[in-house]
Amino acid sequence: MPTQKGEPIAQREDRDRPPDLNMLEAWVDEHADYLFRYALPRLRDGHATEDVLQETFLAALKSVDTFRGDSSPRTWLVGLLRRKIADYYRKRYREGQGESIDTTDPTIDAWFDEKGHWVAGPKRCEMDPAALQQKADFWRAFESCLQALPGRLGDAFTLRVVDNRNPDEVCKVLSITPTNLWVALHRARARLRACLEANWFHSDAVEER
Amino acid sequence: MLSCKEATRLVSEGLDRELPFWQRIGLRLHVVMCRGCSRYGRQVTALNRVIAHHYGDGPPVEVSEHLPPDAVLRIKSSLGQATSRSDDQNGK
Repeated sequence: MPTQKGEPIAQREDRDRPPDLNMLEAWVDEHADYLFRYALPRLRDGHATEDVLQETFLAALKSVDTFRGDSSPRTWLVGLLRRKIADYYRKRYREGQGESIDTTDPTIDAWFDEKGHWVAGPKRCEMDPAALQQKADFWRAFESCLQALPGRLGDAFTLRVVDNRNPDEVCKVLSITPTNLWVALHRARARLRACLEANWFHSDAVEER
Repeated sequence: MLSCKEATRLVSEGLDRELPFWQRIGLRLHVVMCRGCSRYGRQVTALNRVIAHHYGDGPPVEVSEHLPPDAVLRIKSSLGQATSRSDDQNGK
């Protein structure tokens, strides 16, 4: 009597594929681009973003049993992604990497005289949030200014403002003290404002006094 | 009296935590009288708000980057590997 061994392998594999894997693959097709766009400005590095996305989907596969469908898969995946983004920075600034941040910044010091008063002062620029939202040239300028910040200043600003995490969490992730975080954010904001003033204020943003 | 240098530092710090009462008063007094710091404060505060808002609700619509196809394949194959590994552990 002929055995059942003749069953085509491909077909057998297909039947044995776990349903979780099929669902996860469908989620990759449906949500990976969205998650990529979400993560890219928060990590500012294409390769790091791809790695973090892979970690996210692996974590999703592992804990898919806990997905109850109260939220959409996308919302659930974004939650996992946010945890993986924090892990990425935590790994980067693990013990020993979190040395304190310089309180003095020669770039910023140069804007003030010996009494601490403005030498030139900021130029006038109306920044209407609703209008800025629409300006592609503003966002291009912002992203290149952010990219130009020294590593930890840029990371502190990204986690705190772009990623909107609370200060306690940012301190933990970057393993710095709150005092260091205030300094880092001040230096980041001051340099970003000056960079935008130099590279973007020119256009229609500047109104004459 | 605060210096402008000190005032710019406090403007930023005030965006991240509530400043102690006297610092808040000192900063307000300085900003009222100083055009440079008043401008600085408005610009930095507006930037903070618009950036948080822009990225806060997920990716901006006008961004059109795609996850590169080879990365999609890599992710799918890592999912496949992870599945077969856990099947082995479960003795399937």
